[in-house]
Amino acid sequence: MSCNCVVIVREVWDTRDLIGSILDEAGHIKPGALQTRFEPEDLNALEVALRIKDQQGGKITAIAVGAPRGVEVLRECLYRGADAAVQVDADASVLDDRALSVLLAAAVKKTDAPDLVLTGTSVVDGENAMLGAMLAAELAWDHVAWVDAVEAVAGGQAVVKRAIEMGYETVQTPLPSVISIGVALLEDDPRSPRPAKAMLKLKMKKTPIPVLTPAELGVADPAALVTTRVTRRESVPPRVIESRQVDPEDVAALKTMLNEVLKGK
Amino acid sequence: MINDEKVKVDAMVIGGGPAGLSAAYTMASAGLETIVIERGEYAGAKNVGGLLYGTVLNRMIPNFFEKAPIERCVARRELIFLGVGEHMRLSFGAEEWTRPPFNNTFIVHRSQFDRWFAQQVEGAGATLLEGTVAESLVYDGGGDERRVVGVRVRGGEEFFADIVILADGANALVTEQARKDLNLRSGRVKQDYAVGVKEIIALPRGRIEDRFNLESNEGAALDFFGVPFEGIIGGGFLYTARESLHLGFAARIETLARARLSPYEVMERFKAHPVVRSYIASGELLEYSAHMIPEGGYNAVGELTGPGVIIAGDAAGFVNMSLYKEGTNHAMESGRAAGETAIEAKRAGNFSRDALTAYETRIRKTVAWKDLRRFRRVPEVLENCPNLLSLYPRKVNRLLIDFFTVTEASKQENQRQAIRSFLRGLPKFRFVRDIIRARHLA
Repeated sequence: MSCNCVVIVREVWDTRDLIGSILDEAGHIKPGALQTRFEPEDLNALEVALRIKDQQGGKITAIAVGAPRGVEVLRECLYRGADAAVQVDADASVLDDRALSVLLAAAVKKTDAPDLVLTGTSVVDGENAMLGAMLAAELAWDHVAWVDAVEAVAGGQAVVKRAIEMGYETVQTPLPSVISIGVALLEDDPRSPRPAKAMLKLKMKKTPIPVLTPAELGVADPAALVTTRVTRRESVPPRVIESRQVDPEDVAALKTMLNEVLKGK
Repeated sequence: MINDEKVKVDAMVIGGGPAGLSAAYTMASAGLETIVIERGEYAGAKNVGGLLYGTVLNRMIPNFFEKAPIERCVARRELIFLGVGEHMRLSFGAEEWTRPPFNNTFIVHRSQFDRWFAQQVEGAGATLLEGTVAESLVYDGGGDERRVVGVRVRGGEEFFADIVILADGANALVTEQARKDLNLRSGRVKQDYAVGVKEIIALPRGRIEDRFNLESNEGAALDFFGVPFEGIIGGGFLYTARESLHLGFAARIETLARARLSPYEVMERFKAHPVVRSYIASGELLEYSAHMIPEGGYNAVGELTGPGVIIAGDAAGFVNMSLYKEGTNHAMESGRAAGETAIEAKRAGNFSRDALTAYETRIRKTVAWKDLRRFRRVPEVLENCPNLLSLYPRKVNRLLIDFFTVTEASKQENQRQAIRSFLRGLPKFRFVRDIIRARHLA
């Protein structure tokens, strides 16, 4: 049985290799201080969808909210083997998960008979693991989070493996469902997620990507749906622990050091 | 022709740097179906910034400087000798350099500039395949019949073309393999490499202009030699970009190893010199990068064409390591010559080794080649006359300082003393010989 998947993908700040502070005095990210990249867990979600497609066929539609800042996530999906891509024309950086889930639920409903919606669980942007759950609620579908692999999709059910403390559990969930993907199993496979295919790049480089406006999704003003806002960010500098050494035979020095440490010197 | 089964185009270019992009621009403008394979996420991603000589580009894209992202034009150049606690400099500039065509010398951020150039190339009709690594060439036939028919990229996909232009830069893995596979003759001497280290240091625009005494849009290009580079063959540079400084040095890798110095140590020494320190004071380090530069020059250039393949740019060794330090312009000129050769070959329907040797003929007529030839002895002079960049300038520097040191002695006494100490420890015969040899450097 073929299985149609929708993958929600996001472009996020690239927090690797930082030089200097990225926050200004008011606690906002300095413009130009960060590059962006394809959210790695979303990339895993795409890989899971591509594996389902490899095994049993079906269509993969990638959906993203917002205009690309630096990385064209939707085009990257096409280069890796997604069949279609849809861009929702709204500024994701000013929307919270509620507003995003309303827009995305409407966009998912516009795709042709999706069986599964896949996305990354805890994404660098918000680190709150909410989008999958809220999207499921908006669609009135079931939701499983921290999933590392989709093992089978058959008989109106998906069987997924999810990470729990010290192990895994296998969960069965009815179709259609929203599944939030984690990192663990794919991290064990050095070939995952698969790279872009050069041939697809050549063919899809100029393919126009259809755009859906909030109005077409039945939302007049997405910003009006926003309820939660980040008002400030603070960075906590990592604690530096200085080690001290004394000769273990030298009891006097040991005593002095212990005294100093206990007195908090 | 790009369809589901197979991609077969007129030309494939490996490397989206100045050489590859120039080749692609030339071919695509003449209607050849062209694909450029670039391993970086975008053209220029693997590069930082520096000086760009624009004569060749200006011929391809007239008045490019009106459209391209240029940081500043170079209004002033300086040669600075750094002693231990002293320094001397030669500073020169011309008002004319601040007007089009700006003496064809610009300071650019390569990540921005190359991306712009890549857009022009796409505008001319070529297709850029970024984030794709070319792994090897694809051949047809064996032995003497062997010819290049395409490119294999990482992941195993193969793309076919009548001609492949290799412009994969200094660390040219594909070119090296192709040289072996096709038995291409190497240069008369082994290629030597320098390592270039560069830091981008952010400073507010106004402060740069005050500190370097520049009008807006004007820039300064400073070349350094002396104490921080003693014991190695190399020198430093500082270019003023719009809101940052490009500070770095290039040194022959071999000499770094011999002196047991890491590039990092040399950079720290360079930055700690009082002259440099005050230039970069309060700046914020934005980026750090290292790059390889082939600097064997003319004598290290090998055979540049094979059946179905042409080598251009750094991969071919077209870098002038004299005082002029010219690389991008030569890369563009060789890329353009490669493109023109491909166009002719396409018209004649002949991509054989014999047909493509037209590239070598064409190259020999270029300014790049004439300059390479003129400066062919630079590597050897630098190797054999280490005093040129250390002892002699140090002596001259000392002489000037002594001349202008204010003491209670009479000026005449002072001057005599200065000249005596200048001559002390100066190897006279070698000095004369070295000075004569130094003509090969500029």
